[in-house]
Amino acid sequence: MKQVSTTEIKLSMERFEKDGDWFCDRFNEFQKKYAGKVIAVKNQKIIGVTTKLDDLLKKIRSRGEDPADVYIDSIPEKGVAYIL
Amino acid sequence: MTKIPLKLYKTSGQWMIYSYITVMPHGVHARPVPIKFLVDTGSPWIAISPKDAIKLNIPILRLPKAAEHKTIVFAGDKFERRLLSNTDLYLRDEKGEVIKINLDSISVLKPTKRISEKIKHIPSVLGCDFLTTSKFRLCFDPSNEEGFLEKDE
Repeated sequence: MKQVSTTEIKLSMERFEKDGDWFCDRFNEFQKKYAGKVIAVKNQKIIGVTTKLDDLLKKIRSRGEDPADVYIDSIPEKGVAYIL
Repeated sequence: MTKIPLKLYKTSGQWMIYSYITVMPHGVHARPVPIKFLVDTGSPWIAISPKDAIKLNIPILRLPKAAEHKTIVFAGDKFERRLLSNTDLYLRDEKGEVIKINLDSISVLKPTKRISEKIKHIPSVLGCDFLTTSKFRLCFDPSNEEGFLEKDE
């Protein structure tokens, strides 16, 4: 397996954090539009919205992307919150 | 002093606290993958959600079952607790530098029933074993919108 350098890890984390922050900053807006959906974000853009996780993973792969490189998050159904 | 800033987000009208961590399991065909963890002191363990296990390409069926506390009830669903051994976790400190923490094992959640769509909402969680092993203290001050991990060098 190819060794991954700390620099590569750092860059990958920076990209992921930017996408995560971008998603979370817009959570309220997305909650109105995408309740119950699962969303893929890359480079601060939505690249896929589906109801089923499997469908989203297929969509990501069909774009030639690896899901490992994509920020994936979900929006609960309207009025639903999760207590773990 | 090492300080790791955490992310605070309001997702249900209240502040929740998250950490972005890159996970690098050894011994399975996987590469380092960044994941968002909910910081959850109600969980005894750091646990990888089924959704993130897919992202990490973890062969969950080949992982050994935990010897103790084999079943976890989480968000109303039952999961088998599988163990991923020798895993490196990478976090970024307040200067942006990468810090590595190695854990002997971390828990991976395997649904006991057919995977339902509800699992897409279940996050990976950063539980108490992480704090114990890494020796980080958790500071969560929602009224000042601040959260971080810290430890003395």
